[in-house]
Amino acid sequence: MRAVWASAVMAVALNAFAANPDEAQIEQLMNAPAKPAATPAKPDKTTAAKNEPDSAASLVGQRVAVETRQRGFYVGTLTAVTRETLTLAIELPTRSVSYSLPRGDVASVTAR
Amino acid sequence: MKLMLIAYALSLMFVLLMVVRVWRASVLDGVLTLLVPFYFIIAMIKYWNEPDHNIRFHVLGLLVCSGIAFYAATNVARDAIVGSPEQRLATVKALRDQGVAMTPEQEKGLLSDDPAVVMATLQSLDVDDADGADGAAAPPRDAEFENPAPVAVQERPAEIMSYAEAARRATFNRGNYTREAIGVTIDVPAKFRLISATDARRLDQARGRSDDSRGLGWIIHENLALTDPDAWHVGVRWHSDGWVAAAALDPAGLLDVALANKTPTPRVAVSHGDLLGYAIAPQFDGQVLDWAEERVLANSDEHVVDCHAVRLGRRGVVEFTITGMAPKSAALCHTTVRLLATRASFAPGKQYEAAAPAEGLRAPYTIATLATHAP
Repeated sequence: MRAVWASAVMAVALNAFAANPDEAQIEQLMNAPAKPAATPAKPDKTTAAKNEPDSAASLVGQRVAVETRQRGFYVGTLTAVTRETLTLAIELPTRSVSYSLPRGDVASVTAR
Repeated sequence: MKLMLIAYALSLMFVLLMVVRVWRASVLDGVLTLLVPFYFIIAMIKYWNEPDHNIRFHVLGLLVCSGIAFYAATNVARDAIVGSPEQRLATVKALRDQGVAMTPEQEKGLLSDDPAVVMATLQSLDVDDADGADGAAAPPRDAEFENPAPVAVQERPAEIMSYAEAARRATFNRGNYTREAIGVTIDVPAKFRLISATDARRLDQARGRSDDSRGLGWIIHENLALTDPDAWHVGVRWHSDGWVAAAALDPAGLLDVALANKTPTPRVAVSHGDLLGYAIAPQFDGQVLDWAEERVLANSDEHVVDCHAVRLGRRGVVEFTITGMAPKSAALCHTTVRLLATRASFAPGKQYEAAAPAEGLRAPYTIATLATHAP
């Protein structure tokens, strides 16, 4: 009986080992509960301190490029900065959109 | 055609009458006239002066009818070569697609109603082609590699049916999926299934979507039900535009260009809406270009993510796209298309090289314009 269990565990382990990392990640993402994306993160004093809100606040009113920690990129006019979010006004061909990014996801903010 | 058949029938009749007359004079001569070619000449001379057995007029009739039949057959052959006006129009289009240089006079000649003019023009084109083969300025003729027109996927026409029925009829393919004409093979991952362009077209039609002539098929995860119209899938498309030049990918610069362009012309499949930003910035590893776009749907405030991964080849690119995903699923969406693009490979000689090939078609865009949707 132990041998059967050991074989089954080995088969599962071998299968997991042989799988492509991307395939394994897809499986993980398919099975994981969806992660909230653009909802503002809970106020976190340490995170807020790390994000240096003052440096971003000095760019309010300017056209900025915001890079996120997931390799995302957004360009627009920085309209508001809070501890939780950065708000950009992005001009689209047909309208202007106000877009908020959680501060926890922001990797860098640079003036354009 | 009719004239030829009548002439042949009359010839046969003359032959039979001739054989009957000779047979009455001599059975041996009759048999020989029937079976041995041109023996009738001997019979004609032999029985020239015999009123009951001479075959002078029969031979004369035979010759006249044979002449008419030959003339009619020549015309039939010529008509078959020249073809109907629609066929000639298609010929001109095909020659243009193959890059054959034609003057306006030659085009007019090919479309002429006069078969002689058409034949003469066709012959002159052959002469030009032979001359051009030696010349340095010869146009590219390899239709497989140099055809500038997009290669439409030739599949049997899809019938319109309900989405559920179309999904039920779809065949799931596993393992390697190869398109010989393109020279691409997709190693479909174990957890995914590929459905053909025909099945994909049926599903699109069932949902009232327009026909995608570039479509190669769909790829769907095994945990998702194809019968669910809301289940996401990867659309696989082929762009036979030629070799695509690489370019620097500065995400902020690309986004500036994309947002400044008020009339975007996406070459990849996208959701109907405006580009807001890159959920995942474009990156190129030398073979695969991948990125994810966040879009705001038209006439709505809903945000969606479109993920793209493009595998470059020598004469075009294979596109893997998921459209309309929820922004929270950007990582899943992007990882999936990137995985599939890395699992696609081109046959030797059709692989992408960084340096522009000396010969062959070049796409009128770069990898940067694919990501910015610039014209």
